[in-house]
Amino acid sequence: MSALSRAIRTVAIKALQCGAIPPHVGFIMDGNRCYGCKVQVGNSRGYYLGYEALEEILAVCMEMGVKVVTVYAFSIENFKRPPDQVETLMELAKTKLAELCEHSELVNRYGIGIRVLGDDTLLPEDVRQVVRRAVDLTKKNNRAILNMCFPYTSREELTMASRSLVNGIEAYELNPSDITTSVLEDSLYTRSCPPMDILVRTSGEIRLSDFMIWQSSRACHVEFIDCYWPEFTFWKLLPILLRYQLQAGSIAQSRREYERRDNLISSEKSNHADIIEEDSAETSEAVSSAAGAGAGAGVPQDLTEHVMTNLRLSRSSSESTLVTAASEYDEDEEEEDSRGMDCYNCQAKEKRQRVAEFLTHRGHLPNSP
Amino acid sequence: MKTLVQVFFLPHLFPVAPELVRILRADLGTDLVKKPKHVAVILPANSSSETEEEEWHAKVAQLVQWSVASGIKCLSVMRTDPLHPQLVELLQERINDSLADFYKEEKSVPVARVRTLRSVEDSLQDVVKRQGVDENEAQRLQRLHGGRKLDLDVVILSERDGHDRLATSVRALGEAALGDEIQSQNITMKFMDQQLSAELTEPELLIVFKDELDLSSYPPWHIRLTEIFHHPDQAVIPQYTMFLQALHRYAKCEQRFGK
Repeated sequence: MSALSRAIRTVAIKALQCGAIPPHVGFIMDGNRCYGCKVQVGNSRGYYLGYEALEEILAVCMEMGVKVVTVYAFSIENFKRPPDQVETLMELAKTKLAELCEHSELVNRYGIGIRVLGDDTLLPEDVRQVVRRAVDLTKKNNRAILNMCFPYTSREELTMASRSLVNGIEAYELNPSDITTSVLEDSLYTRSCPPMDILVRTSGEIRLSDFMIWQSSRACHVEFIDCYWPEFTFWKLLPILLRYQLQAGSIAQSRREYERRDNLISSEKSNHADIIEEDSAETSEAVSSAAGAGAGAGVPQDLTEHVMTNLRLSRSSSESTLVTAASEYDEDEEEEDSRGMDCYNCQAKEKRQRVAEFLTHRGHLPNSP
Repeated sequence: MKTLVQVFFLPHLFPVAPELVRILRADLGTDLVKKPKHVAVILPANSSSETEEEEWHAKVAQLVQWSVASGIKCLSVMRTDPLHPQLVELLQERINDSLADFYKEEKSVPVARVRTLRSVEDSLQDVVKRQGVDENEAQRLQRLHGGRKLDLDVVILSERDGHDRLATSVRALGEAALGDEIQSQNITMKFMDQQLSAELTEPELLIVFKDELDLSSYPPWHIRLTEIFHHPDQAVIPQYTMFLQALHRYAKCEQRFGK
């Protein structure tokens, strides 16, 4: 790229930074094979060209200040492709992952943590080892995150999350009334990431193909672009970002609305659940054991802190709602008003601690620190 | 000067479809190689004012007319707030009237029935009860509508039927696990699909009647392979044009299913 075009790009990025920069962007990198056919270099070369496009887009996103980039590298359905194509993709994954974690200037400069999301039991052993190594080497990087989804489908993710939550209920670590939309969201592969803001699919197809459907079907700007992935450059991303910026306000408002509704529903459920009397000693023990378990299992502190910060933030925003709900509930019993509210607040707090402990404890998510 | 036969006899043997149905059938054309069985529509409603609610009902009635004429079996309409049960009845009446009007010169008027999703607990109990019972799509729809025959199943969804309903389903599964009815290790994709698709099937086509492409919390489990049709100028494009363009686009698409 010439110095002039690089300079123009920098100016464009600076202009974009005057508006909202989406914290989390997702890409369905479709059209590599078709592009390979179009420029007559073959399917395999098409995949490599696709990887180069990914590097460029990743660099641009990092320069703009995007925190999380999630890409659809390989679907569980793609295992149905001819074995030689699957083989090529696995080889590509192995080479490029090794490159990324060992000597990628981009990863080092922006402190990118690499995560591989999906059901890794489906991968061949050699690929799995490279994946584990890449994730391990970059796990201390937390300034930005690159989520490579392979092999991934959204339904598998939702099934995994449901299974783990129901398992938690069976093991008496959770109550059924603890399960809300945000708890389910916090059990997915993308749990330590902010919600998705933009989802882009290239190659002109207008479907999601089982990619991040939970994350993109509310408060997310979805775009279908009619060009192949290797042709997708910053200049094609620019209008998408501008359209996102026009909508950023309404997206934030919808998210607040969903959170408010979620808190209302969860407080209604707590009202119906039995009031459990736990003494404060047990509560503090639970909290310290959660912290200890988190550290002991090799889970980095930032995740625990992140979860706790999120909970603190949601707690502060929902306390007003809880107090209103609680006061309506105790309308008839004025003499027990203060006692009822204390009990209610402490019940809600215990519920949050229980959920937080479950989520940190359950290090079941592979390749996700 | 028509003969007696032409005037009295022939119209009964060869009924003439009214103008509108004929136009629609001509517009759809014969080159639609693929037709969706279930079309989903995101049609936001501002239920704060009566006139807007009235307009929304009118739009749904029109969509029902066109869906029946196109041979679609199920139409799901996603709106913001849930539809009050009384308004569901009003909508049903309106749809009956509009279909009777649309098909007034044909022999039989097709039947479209409106429903909203039942509660998660009821749906789950139903799934458990019908474990191992085989029934085809038509029988299932009839059962959901209380045994009445119908040509088009109209489902009215609200934003709470999306992500929130999935979370509620997981909660219900948790309660079932506590009651030893299921075990967490049996929760596979097929199992989840059985539970979640009991009330609503997967749409093949989703049309978004909003200025921006916002999926508005449409049940996430169901839209993994759905073709999503949207146009940023939808406010000025007639609804009929959008509907036709969506069907034509769907007919052209090729699904590779991963291969």
